[in-house]
Parts: sequence; structure tokens; C-alpha cells
Amino acid sequence: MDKVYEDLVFGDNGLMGSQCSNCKEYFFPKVKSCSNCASVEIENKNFGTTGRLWSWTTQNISPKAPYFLHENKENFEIYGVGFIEMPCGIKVKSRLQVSDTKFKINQKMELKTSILEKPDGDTLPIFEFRVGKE
Amino acid sequence: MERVAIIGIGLHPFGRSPGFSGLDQGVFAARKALEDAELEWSDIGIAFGGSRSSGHAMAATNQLGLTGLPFINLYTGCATGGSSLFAAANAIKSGAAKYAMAIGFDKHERGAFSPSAKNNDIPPWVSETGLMVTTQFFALKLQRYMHDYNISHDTLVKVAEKAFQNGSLNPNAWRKNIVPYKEIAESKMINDPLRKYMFCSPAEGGAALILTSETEVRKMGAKAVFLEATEMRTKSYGSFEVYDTCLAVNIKPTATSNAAKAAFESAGIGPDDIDVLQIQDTEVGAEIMHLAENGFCEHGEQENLIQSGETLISGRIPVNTDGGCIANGEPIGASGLRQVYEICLQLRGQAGLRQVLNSPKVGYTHVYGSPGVSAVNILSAS
Repeated sequence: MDKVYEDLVFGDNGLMGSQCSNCKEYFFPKVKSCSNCASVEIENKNFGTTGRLWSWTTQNISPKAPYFLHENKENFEIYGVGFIEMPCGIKVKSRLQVSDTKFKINQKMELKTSILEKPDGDTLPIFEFRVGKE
Repeated sequence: MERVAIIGIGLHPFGRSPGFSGLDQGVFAARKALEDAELEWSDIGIAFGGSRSSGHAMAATNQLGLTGLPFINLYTGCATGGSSLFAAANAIKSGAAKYAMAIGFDKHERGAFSPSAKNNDIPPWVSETGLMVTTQFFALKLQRYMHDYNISHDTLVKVAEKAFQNGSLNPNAWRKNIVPYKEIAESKMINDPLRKYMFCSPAEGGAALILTSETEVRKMGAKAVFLEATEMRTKSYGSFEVYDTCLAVNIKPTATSNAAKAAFESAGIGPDDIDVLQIQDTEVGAEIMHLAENGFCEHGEQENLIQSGETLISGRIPVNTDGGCIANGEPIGASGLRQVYEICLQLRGQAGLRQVLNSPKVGYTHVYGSPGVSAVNILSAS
């Protein structure tokens, strides 16, 4: 398991990011300094597990390397990409689980974590959002 | 303040040029620009150049002549050409040289660019999990914009249709064939709502401009196009730009809006005074959104503007008369200079079949690049 990735992204219960202690702006993933006020006083912030879809698209062709989630173009599966507006107001970029129905801006989204296998046999924890129940 | 003048322009046709390196195409453009200005390479006192995939721009001096001039390589993503011109114009303003050249060229592989997370201070998992694809950014920004401002899918198609129509009138364009509406609307989906024919593609080409001061132009008795303003901005906190992994609670104006505002202020000219425009059209949504960000309409007004044909060559505000990035493709180093080349042709009345009627007097260019860079120019014919 990729510990760095895990530390950067998952908390005990939700997506982990940063909040500036000085100007209170939020960041994802975690940052070392604030790009708004330049403060280096940064706290961890748990953004939670649900949010609203702020914008979305689909990735219909395979990205080039270093993308590896589908080993070759033949087994590529379309995935969604979106910004999820979390309760505190930050919009977080995430993969979206594609379903039969089209995404709708403002619909409720839920965090889902899973483990994926890298081409070298190593595993990578991954997060995505899927459409939630209103 | 004394204005900077463009006295020479040169371009190598965009597209695919087998057998010619990116650098060869830059050298070709530089020689054309020198010929246009009636100058020799040895007259150039300083140069700024950029290329992403074709080596160091300075290597062009091997072919142009090793005159020992200061030559600065620069790179600001797709805005590289705009930044070269910005730097060259400021070199003239400072008095660093009598004649300056801004040059750019490139020769890219097929397919979308593969940006480096590391080079952009972004954790590697972002690109490894498929979240660092430039085309996604355009689609995400556009999807929200269409929702907020009621822009229709039909309007997206019309922007692409115009690009290919204009490209068909431009002998230097890559895509010289008209692509019918239906073919655009039914082309392969890449990133919803954006389809294949709505994007520009990485390509090849070269462009060069020669600058001098207004005083020098008067002395030479040369013809010139004048830079009323040249401004460049990088992203400021809270704006929505390419590669962003999160967006702030309160979203702020883009690098484009900030650069445009600064340019109009320093020129003392307003958007209503502009007769012909070049707007970064990395894809159709970029042209639509950038029209408002640059101040040419309110957000949402694009729907009517485009539907009523106002952005066509025959319209009130002709946009991307040479076919833009969509019909020319994008050799990164040269693209921003190609925009200025086209405006110079239009202001000089030399744009051939795509010439805007009634002698346009004032033109505008806007280029946008990763990770949130914008350069704009306001140009006048006299």
C-alpha cells in the first residue's frame, strides 16, 4: 500500500486536506504553505464523506502515461471526473464512478475508497465519488 | 509612454511538415520576418524564444548566425509565444536594444500533451490516477459555465464550424477543409461536453516578430503595427485554472480577466474599440468563456453573439479570423505569436480572402497557458 498517498488523502472518516490557521482557506490535497496569505501555519482538515457535484466531465479516452489504472487501451474504461463541493465550501477534484444516468450539477455525492493494483503488482488506495441518495 | 512597434512578421505554415524540424520552421519564420522588416539577423540586438518539444529556441542561432546577441529561452506553457512578445516588447521599452525578436516554434507528437505533475508541484498520484489531463480542465470549466449561463451544445458546434470555415480561407492553416455541422456534433466524445472536432491538437509550426521603438519607426519611415498594450499575468489566488486539484470557497477572476483588465487600462482603449480579435480557443468552450473574461461581452451573452453570427469574419467582433488554434493546431512555442501575426495581417489589410472589411484599425490577442498564464496585446494600425 502506498503510505504517502494514504497519508495525503484519507482520514479516519473522510477526505483529508489542509486549512490555513491564519486566513482559514482550505486546500486539497494537503499543503505546506498557504497560497492565499503565504502563512506556513497549516492544520489538517477533514472535509467529510459527502458533498454536492459542482462540475463534472467524463474521460472517454485513455490518458497517456503515467496513468496506469488501465494497463492498455484495450481494457480502458470510461471514468468520470468532477469537482465536489464539500460542506465547508471547498471544491475537490475527484474521479467519479460512472453510472447509467448522466451526472447532474448539485446532486449529492458520496466518497468511496478502494484499492487498485499497479502494473508492478503494488497496490494503490484510490478515492472516488459516486452519486448518493438524496 | 512611447509605443513599441512591430515592423516584421514571419510564419512557417502550421500543421505537419515532414522533413522539417521544429527549429527549421522557426528559422524559416525568422527569415520571413527579417525580410518583411528589411533587416538582417545581425541587426537584431536581443531575442526571446520558446519551444516545448523542439529543443532550446536559442539553437536557432546556429542557422541564423552566431552574432553573439543576448537570446533568452522561455517557457510558459501554451502562453509561451505571448510571454516571448511581452519580454521582447519590454526589452524595447527599456532601451536594451534597437531591434528585438520574439520567436517560437515547435513540433509535437500526435495526441494530447502529457503534463508532468512533478514540474507543477502536484503529487504524482494526481496524474497516475488520471486527474491531470488538460482537456478535463476545459470540460469541467465549460460544464459549470454552460449550467450557470445557459450556453447550448449547438453554440459549441457553431464555434468549431466557424474555426474550420476561417481555416479554409487561410493558406497557412493546418485544417483547410470545412467540417460540416453534423460531423462536428457527432464526432467522438472526448470529455463531455467536448467532442473531437471541438479541440485544437498539438501540431507544428513557427512564428517570429521583429520589434522596435516608435521613434525608430519614424526615423526609418517604415510601416508598422503598434502595441498599445502588452500585458501578462499568472494566476492569482482563488481563480479556476488548469491543473487545480481544488477550488476555493469563493472563486475569483482568472489570470485572463486580470491581464485583459490591465491591458485595457494601460492602453486607454475599451473592448468596444476593438475591430478584430484573437482569443485562445484551445477548444470551443475556451473561446466562448474567454470572450467574456477578456471583457468583450457579459457572461452568458455569448449564446446570442454566436448564434447571431457576430463573431464571424463578417460580424461585429470577428474572432479567430485565421481559424484559431482549432484550425491551425498548436505548436506551443509559436501559437501566441501566430495570433499576433494574424492581427498584423488584418491591420495591414493583407489577410486575403479572410480580410475583415472596412479596414480594421485596432486588434486584440489573448493567449492562455498552463498552469494559469495569460498574455494579451492591444494593437493598432497607426
